[in-house]
Amino acid sequence: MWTKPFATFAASLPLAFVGLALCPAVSFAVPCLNLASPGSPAVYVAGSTAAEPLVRQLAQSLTRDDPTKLTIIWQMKSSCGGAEAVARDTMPASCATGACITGKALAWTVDPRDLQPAECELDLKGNKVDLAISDVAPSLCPGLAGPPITGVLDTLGPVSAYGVVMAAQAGETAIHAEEAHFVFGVGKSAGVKPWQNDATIALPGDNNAGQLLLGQQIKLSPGRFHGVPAPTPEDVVTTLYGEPASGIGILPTTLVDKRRDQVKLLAFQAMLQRGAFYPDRKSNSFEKQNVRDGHYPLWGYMHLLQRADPANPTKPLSPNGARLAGLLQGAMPVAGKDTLLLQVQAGFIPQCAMKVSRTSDTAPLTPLVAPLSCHCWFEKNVPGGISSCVPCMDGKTCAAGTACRRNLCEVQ
Amino acid sequence: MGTQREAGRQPLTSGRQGRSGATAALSRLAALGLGALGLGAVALLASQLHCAEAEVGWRGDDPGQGDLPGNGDGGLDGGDDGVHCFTGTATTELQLLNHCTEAEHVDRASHIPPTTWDGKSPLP
Repeated sequence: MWTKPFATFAASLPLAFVGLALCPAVSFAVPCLNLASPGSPAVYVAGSTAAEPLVRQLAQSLTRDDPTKLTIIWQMKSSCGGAEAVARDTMPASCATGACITGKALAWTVDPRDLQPAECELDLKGNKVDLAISDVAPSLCPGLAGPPITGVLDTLGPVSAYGVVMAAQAGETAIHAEEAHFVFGVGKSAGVKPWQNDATIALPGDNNAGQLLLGQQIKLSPGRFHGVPAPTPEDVVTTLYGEPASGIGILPTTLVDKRRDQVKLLAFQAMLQRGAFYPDRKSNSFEKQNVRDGHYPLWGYMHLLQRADPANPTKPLSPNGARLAGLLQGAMPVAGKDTLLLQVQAGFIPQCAMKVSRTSDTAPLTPLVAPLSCHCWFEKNVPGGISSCVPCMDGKTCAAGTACRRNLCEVQ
Repeated sequence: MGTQREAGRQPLTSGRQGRSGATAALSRLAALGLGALGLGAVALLASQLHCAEAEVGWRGDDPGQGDLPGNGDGGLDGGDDGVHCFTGTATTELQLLNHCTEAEHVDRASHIPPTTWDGKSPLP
């Protein structure tokens, strides 16, 4: 027969299990390497929050559907966090200070019943990063300022747009670069309406690509931003809702576009620009027309960063990292799927759909005539895109000045 | 522009030729004519300056701005200073940012109080 204290203890056990399961601080993550099956080698990837929707799609296809499988082990960090993990990885057999990734990561399993990736534990000593994804060049990262970075290969992927955001119900619709300079640089005491609550100015951090790219536009260097830390996109949204009429933050459009019922993008007026423009043709469309034609300058290229092979400095050290970089660039299919289309579906803009370019994150916009432009195809594949382009069969002649690509007559 | 200045000068010379021996009434008439010609020349000059501006690619107040798509409460407010845009082939960032477009945009005055920034000095 149980004594009363023991019976009380026994009765509380189920509650304790429920409590442990709900407590985010206590977890029972398995080692990440255990989640990689023999025929599906592990690839360690770190970086930009903006890239998460695309990495998620590729990872699932690579683990389960593609004949040449890979297990993606993904740690979502800031752009510069990922860049540093690769740039500082200069010791062949161990992790130098600031190199590699540690702690928890996500891995997609082969089991199709797992709808979400599994959380796993990285090596205590750290894991070398096969591929880092950053929306700014490493040279723009505050932690990597100084002598030029060597031994890192940087290839450019699609364009990633960012936005200054407010809660969906906020009354304001636009912000000027000069206003943003004072709001993010001074805060409440600058008196710029309606952004007069220091507790609702959400800052993703000096290592975040969105904050760095905005800083370029509003002449605010890292360290000069004023507000409350909001390192994850969820933190940004929570901070906005602290006071929906005044809360302000910075997020990638790849994430905002899926949450427009909660978060609104403000039209942005660059310095010396007449009028403020949304990334898209309208506040409620998705075709990124203004990013593509040069009316909206708040964007960066996806930088795919890999360690170079010391024996052959033009080749990446990790072949599996290089394969994933190629997929992120849209250069080859995965499991029979068009990876350029996956870019578009994840909210990115393929370079072939751009009419402007930049030679660096700090360089001005210049006109671009993409050699194999895909404006019609891009518009066809975004919700509400223009559908007036002339269809064609591949190889068939289109009207003068256009060429048949992906079954559409594209401007040459 | 130079051609138009020449055209304005011709009547001015003719007026001087007919002045000698004329009555006071004729003189006043000539003065009035001169004034009208002067005004005409100024108007012609102004119109040519506007044309020259358009030729290099900047368009002035856009009368069609109210017709832009999505121009509701959150759209273009038709501000007093109007909208200027670049109509030529954009080659610089400034021209790209200001190239004429039918995209929805917001045109409003700055919310920065003058006590914070005068709008002219370099940003702090």
